[in-house]
Amino acid sequence: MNFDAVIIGAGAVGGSVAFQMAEAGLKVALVDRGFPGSGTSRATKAGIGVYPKKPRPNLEMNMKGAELYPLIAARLDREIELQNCGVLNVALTEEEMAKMRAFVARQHETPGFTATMLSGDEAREMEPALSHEIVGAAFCPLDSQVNPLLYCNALTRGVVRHGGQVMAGVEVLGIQARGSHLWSVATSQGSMECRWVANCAGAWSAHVGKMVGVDIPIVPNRGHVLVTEPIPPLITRRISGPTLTRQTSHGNMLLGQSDDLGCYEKTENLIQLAAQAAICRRVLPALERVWTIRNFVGIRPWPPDGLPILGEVPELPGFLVAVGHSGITWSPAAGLLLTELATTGKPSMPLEPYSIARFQGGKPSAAA
Amino acid sequence: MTDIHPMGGSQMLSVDICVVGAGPAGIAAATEAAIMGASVLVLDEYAQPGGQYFRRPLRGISMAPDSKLMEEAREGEKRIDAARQAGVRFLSSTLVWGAFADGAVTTYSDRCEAIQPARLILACGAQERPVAFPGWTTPGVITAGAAQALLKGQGVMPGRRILMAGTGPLQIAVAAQLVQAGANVVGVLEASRAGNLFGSGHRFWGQWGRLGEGIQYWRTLRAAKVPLILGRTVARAGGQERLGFVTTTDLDDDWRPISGTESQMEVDTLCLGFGLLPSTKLARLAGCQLTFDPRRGGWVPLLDETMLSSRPGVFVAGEAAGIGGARAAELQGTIAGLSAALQLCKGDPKKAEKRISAARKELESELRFARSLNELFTPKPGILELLTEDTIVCRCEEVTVGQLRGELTPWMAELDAVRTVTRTGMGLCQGGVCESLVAQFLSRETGKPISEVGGYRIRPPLKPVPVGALADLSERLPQVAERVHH
Repeated sequence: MNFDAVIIGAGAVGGSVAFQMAEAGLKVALVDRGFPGSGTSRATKAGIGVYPKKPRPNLEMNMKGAELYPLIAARLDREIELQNCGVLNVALTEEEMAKMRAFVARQHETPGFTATMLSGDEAREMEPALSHEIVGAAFCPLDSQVNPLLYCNALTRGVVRHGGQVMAGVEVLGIQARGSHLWSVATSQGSMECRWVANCAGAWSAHVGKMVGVDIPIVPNRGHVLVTEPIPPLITRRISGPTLTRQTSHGNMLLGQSDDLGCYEKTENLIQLAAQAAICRRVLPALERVWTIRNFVGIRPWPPDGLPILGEVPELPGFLVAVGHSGITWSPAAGLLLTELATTGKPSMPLEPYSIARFQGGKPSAAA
Repeated sequence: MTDIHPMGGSQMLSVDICVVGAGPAGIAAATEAAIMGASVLVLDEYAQPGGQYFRRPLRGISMAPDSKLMEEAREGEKRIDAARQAGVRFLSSTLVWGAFADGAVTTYSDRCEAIQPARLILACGAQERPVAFPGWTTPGVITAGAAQALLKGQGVMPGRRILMAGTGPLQIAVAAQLVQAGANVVGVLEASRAGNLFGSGHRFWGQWGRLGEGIQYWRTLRAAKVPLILGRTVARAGGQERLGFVTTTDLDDDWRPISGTESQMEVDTLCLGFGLLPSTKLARLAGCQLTFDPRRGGWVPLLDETMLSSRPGVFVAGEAAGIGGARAAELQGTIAGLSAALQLCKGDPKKAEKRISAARKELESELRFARSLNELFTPKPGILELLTEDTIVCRCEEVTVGQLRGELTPWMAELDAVRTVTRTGMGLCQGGVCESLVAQFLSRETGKPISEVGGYRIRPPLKPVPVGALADLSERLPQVAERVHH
C-alpha cells in the first residue's frame, strides 16, 4: 500500500496532522494501536491553555493553536464543545499575586498576548463560586476548552471524509528508510510505503523514534483528573493557579492537576487524588458536597525544556515529529505546519525553535 | 457488640483480612477465617449485614416473625451471630470505593478511610441482567431484585397489578414470594420456550433437592391461579406518567419476537427478572484478570481452586466469582476464608484442608447445577430485536439506540471507544447498567463475539464519593511533593 503520509498516533496531534494533510489532498494513513484518542487525549482536562506558556516560542505555538481552533472546528462534521471561555488564574497569597503580576508583565512582551490583573473581589464578581481566600487573579481571554474525545473522533471522521485511511488497533512494528522521502512502515497488519512519516505518538513517541534511531527525549508525566457528577453551572471560565479545574458542557467538573514525572503506570495514586480534592475545594468551596464519580489518569509527554518538538528530523528527510505536552492546545497549529512542510515546504511559522536538533544535535544514531 | 457505626479510623489500624460484602459468601468467608484466628473486618454497603439473600427488614419496619418472607432473614441471623461469636467485625453502611496498586482499600461512610489489609476477599455479589425494550425506563418497571428488596426490606408491595417477565427460576421465586405476601400477580412470562426446558430434563439428574424448591414455588403460583406462560416476553411498556400497559410477544427458539403475536394488557407494575450478572467492578479495579464464561454470567474473575485471583492476596467468592446460587456462594466463601487464613499462617492447616476439600466437593455439584440452569436461562441475542431507534440504552446519559448507531464507525469496535464518543457509561452509575447492554449491541452490530468487545475502563471511586470527604482524607495522608513547574 502506498501513501503520501503515514501518521502514527491518532490523538489530538496525530488526528489534526492527518486531517489537515488529507484536506490538502495528500493520501494519508492514520495509525493507532488503540482507538483514536485512546492514549493521552482521552485523559486530559483539555483546556486550551495559552496563559501559562513561557515566551516566546512556547507561548507563540500555543497561541497559534488556540487561534486556529474555531477555524478547524468549523471544518469538522461533529460538535466538539469548543468554548472560548478564558482562564482565571487565581492567587491564594499576596506572594503568589506579586509573582503573577511580574509573570503577566513579561507575557505581554509577546505580541498578541493579553491578560488583565484583577483584585479578589473583581475575580469573585466574574466567578462568584470562588472562595473568599482568593486575593486576586489574572484573566486571560485567549484560553478555551474543548471535549478531547469528540475532537479526536471528529478529526478521524474528517480524515475518512477526505479520502484518508484509518487503521485503529494496528501497531507500528518498524520503520525503514528506503531512500530520500521514501519510507517503509511495518505494522501488525501489513506494510506500507510513504513519503512522509509523522511521529505523533505522544507519550510513546520515544519508542517510535527508536525505530529510526532518533532519540526523542520526552519523559512520561502521570496526571490525575477527578470527574464529578454533572451540576448546574458553577464556573464559566477555566480556573488555574493552585489547581486546575473546568466545567464541561454537560456540567461535570474536571478537577485537579498533578504530576508524577517518570511514571507510565495508568493507575492512581490515592494521595494525589485526595490532595487534588482538597485544593479544589479550597478554591471552590461549593464542591464540598458534590460527588466525584470517577477519575482518569493521563500520561503526558514531558519534554525537558517544555517546548514542543515539531518539524522534520535533520538528516531524515520525510520523518516528521510532533510531540510535547499540551498537545491539545497546539494540535491545530501542528497540523497546519506539518501539512505546509509536506506540501509547499514553507511553514508559516519558523520551526527552528521547536526542532529536535536542539537536543544533542538530534542526529540519528549509527544503528537505525 | 462488635458492629461499629459509624467508623472510627483508629479502630482499623491493622486487620488481617478484609471482606467486602456481607452476603452468604462474605459471612462464610469471614467466619471461617476468624475461627482460624485471623482478625477479620467485613465492609458492607447495606444498613445491615445479610446482603440480598439474607435481607432483613430495615430497623423500624415490623414484619410478622413467622412470615414466609422472614425465612431467609432468620437463616442469615444465625450465620451473622455465629460470625460475631467468632470475632468478626461488621462495618455496615460502608462503601468500598477504591482498591489501589499498593494494596490500600478505601471506604466511605460518614467519612473516607484507607485500610491496608493483609488479604482481601471480594464477595460483592451480583447485579441484575438488564434487558432493554421500548418503555423500559417508564416508572413502574422494576426488577425482581428490587421487588424483593421492597418486600423483604421494607414490607412494601411493589404495585397493585404486577406482571412478571423474564427467564429462569429467580423470577419464579420472587413471583411466589409476592403471591405469598398477597400481591396480585397477573402472570409470569418465561421467555424460554417449552421445548428447550423439557428437552433439558436430563441435566438436572441428581438435583432433586433443588428441583424440589422450584416445584414448591411453582405450586404456590398454581394454587393462586397465576398463569405461567412459556416462550413469551414483554415487547413494550407505556403509560402516561407511569406504567399503564404492557405489550407482550411470543419468542422463537432464538428469542426473536414473532410478529403477529402481540397482545396488550393493563398493569401498573412490570417486574423484570432476566437473571444475574456477577458484580466484577471491584475485582477489575483491584487488577484481577477476568475470563469470559457464558455459563456463569459472562465476565468472571480468573480464580484458582482456593478462590485466589490473578492479583496476589485478592480472593473472590460468591456470585461475584460467577453466578452459582446461595449455597455455592457460601461454599466458595468457606474456601476463600480458610485459604486466606492459611496464607497468613493462621489456624490448623490439616483441619482447614479437610474442610476445604469437603466444601470443594459440594461446590462442584452446586456449580454443575448452576451452569445447567444458566445455559437454559440466558437471554439469546434475538431479544435485541425488541430495540427501536429511540429505545434508551444508557439510562444515566439517556443515550438511545439510534444515537449509538449513528456514531458507530469502524474504529469503534470496543466498548470504551463507543463510550468516549456517545457518553454511555459516563453517568452516575458508571456503566453499571448499560455495560452489558452496549456490549451486546456492539457485538451484534460489529459481528464480534461479545467476549471481544471489552468493557468500560473502571476507575475509582466505584460509586460516588463527595469531594469534601476525599479532601478531608488528604489531611490524614502524607502530603504531596511540590508541583512541577514549567
